[in-house]
Amino acid sequence: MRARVYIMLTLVVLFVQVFVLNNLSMSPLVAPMVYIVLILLMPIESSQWKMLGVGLLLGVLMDITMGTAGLNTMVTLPIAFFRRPLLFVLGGLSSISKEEGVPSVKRLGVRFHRYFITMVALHSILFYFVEWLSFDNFGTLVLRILCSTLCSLVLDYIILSLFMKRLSA
Amino acid sequence: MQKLIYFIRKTAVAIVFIILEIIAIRCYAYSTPYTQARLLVWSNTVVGAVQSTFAGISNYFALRKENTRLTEHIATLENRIRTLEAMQPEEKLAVEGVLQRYEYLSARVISSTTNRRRNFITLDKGFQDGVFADMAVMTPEGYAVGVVVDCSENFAVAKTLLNVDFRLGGVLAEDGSHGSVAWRGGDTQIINFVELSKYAKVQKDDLVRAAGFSHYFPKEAIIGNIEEIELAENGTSYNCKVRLAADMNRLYNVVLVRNTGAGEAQALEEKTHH
Repeated sequence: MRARVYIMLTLVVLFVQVFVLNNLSMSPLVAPMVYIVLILLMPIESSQWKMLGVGLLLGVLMDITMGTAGLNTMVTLPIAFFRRPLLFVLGGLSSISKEEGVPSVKRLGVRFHRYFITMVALHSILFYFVEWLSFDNFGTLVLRILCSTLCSLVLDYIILSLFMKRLSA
Repeated sequence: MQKLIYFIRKTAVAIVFIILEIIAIRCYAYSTPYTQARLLVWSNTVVGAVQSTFAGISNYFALRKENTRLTEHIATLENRIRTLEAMQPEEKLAVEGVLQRYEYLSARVISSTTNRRRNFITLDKGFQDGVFADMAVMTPEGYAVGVVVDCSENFAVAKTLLNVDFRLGGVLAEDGSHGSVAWRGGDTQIINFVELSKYAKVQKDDLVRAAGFSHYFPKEAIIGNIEEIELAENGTSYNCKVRLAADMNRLYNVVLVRNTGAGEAQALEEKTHH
């Protein structure tokens, strides 16, 4: 059952990212990325290998569809690799190995929001900083990170509200 | 030995992560606009049909505006035809010579970005329709948009003026002084026009056209109007900000231009350099 919901979630997220958000041109400051939600909602018990595999697959797929030639992979891999320890710290889990299931408010309480928001922000900061790779227009870069993170978070929470109940069941 | 195997097993995932990260960094560091366009062309062979459907829907909503724009453009062209018809035979020959140098083709934009540092547009025509790399992309009104980097059978990908890797020769229409046009990120309506001689008579609102030596664009292609003028730090040139004529956020139909003499000119230039 959970696998089916994950497949649905993956299809919806990829569709929104590839066909809608990648072509969005409403402002140069807003370039939301929601695909990272697929890594953040991986089951707590997922091994490092599994996380790395998903991170690599997602990164490569996004690089091909966005034409970014390695940028997404470069940024998604560390997020996937360090997800486990960061979930442990930010989610306030006492013994991560014993916890199972999808990270959610039900399992982690309000700490889930701390984990979720920090990870989305971290992904945006890494992505835009590497893409910019210069201190030219630093103010614009900071504004771009802020706007894109906010927009990504709004969209991520909409996706969460649609799938969380079914994933946690 | 057992300890070594245990160590490797324990650190294998971290080692694989580091190796993958290094590969990704190398790929990105050595990527060029061509590699990036190649990837987009590649992905469009799979998702191009869906992108095209989405573009069709958004085009539908912009149809009324687009029709008005095209009707106005037809009226301008009609006027130009009348002027050409009224020309003397020898003047006509000179104009025809210029026209024969360029081949025009229309295309529809099926996806575009303006919110990245390296922006590209995907067009619904490929080499099957006569599209080649290095063809100039312009709006129907003659505003410069970008240059085709790569194409597949049915799709083409062009880097736009809003791509930090793209530099284009520009010329002040009034004064004839040359400079270089490049985007530095940020505002999508403003582009930098640099290395313009300090002796140039430049004023706000002056028109900037593509320089004839760029090979890509016809000389009449418009880049935009001067918005801000500032003397460079070294005091030998002007750095200007130009408001782009083409609205990159609303590109629906474009015109592809092929300079039939570009290959010959480039070959000659290379020969001279050697």
